[in-house]
Amino acid sequence: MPNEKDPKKIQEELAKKNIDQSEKKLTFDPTTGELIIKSATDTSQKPGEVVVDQIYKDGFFTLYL
Amino acid sequence: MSWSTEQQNRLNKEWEIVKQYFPGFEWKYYGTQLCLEGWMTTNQKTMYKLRLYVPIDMPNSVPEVVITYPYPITDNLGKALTDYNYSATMHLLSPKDGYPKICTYKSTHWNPNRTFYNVLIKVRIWLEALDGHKSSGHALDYYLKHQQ
Repeated sequence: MPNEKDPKKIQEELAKKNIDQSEKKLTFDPTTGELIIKSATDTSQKPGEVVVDQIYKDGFFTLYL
Repeated sequence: MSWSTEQQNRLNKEWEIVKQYFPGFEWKYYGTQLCLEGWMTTNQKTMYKLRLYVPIDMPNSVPEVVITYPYPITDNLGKALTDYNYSATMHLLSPKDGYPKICTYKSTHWNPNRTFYNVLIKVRIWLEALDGHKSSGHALDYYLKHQQ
């Protein structure tokens, strides 16, 4: 499966990850600043590229008052 | 502001990591407040300027992060994000210095092992979700998990 950098695809995948319906991995390429969606089995990685799924899955603080 | 030796060592380590992953960032002082400031560009090529405030008790507190550009930054309907004040669905905290503040870590989920890099990656993902919101109208929590 090709790497996916298309913004719409990234956004769709984030929405799927939000409801635990994605098996793809989210990576960050610091040379371009882009987020990239990859197949879970894709082991290719540009120098410096990092998987950021765990940071995503950690969640975002929500303030309820 | 004078940092302890431990804090200074920690700041040096933080800097080594930040400049590797976010090379556009630099240190800035606003009065005695030390900040990291820089640009992020989303996959849609939207540019945002961020400011991370270094807590005086670092690394023991969550650094606050605001968006300083575009100003004002708005939602999909043109409402300024600062007008939300705080918002659970948009993952926003009350504004700081007139800028919208991004929800990253709950204080109970913060520990000194977390780094500015962790915070900035969350910010990067948050910005991608904001672009999604502007296209779709879905609130940011459509794209971003709530921290349990």
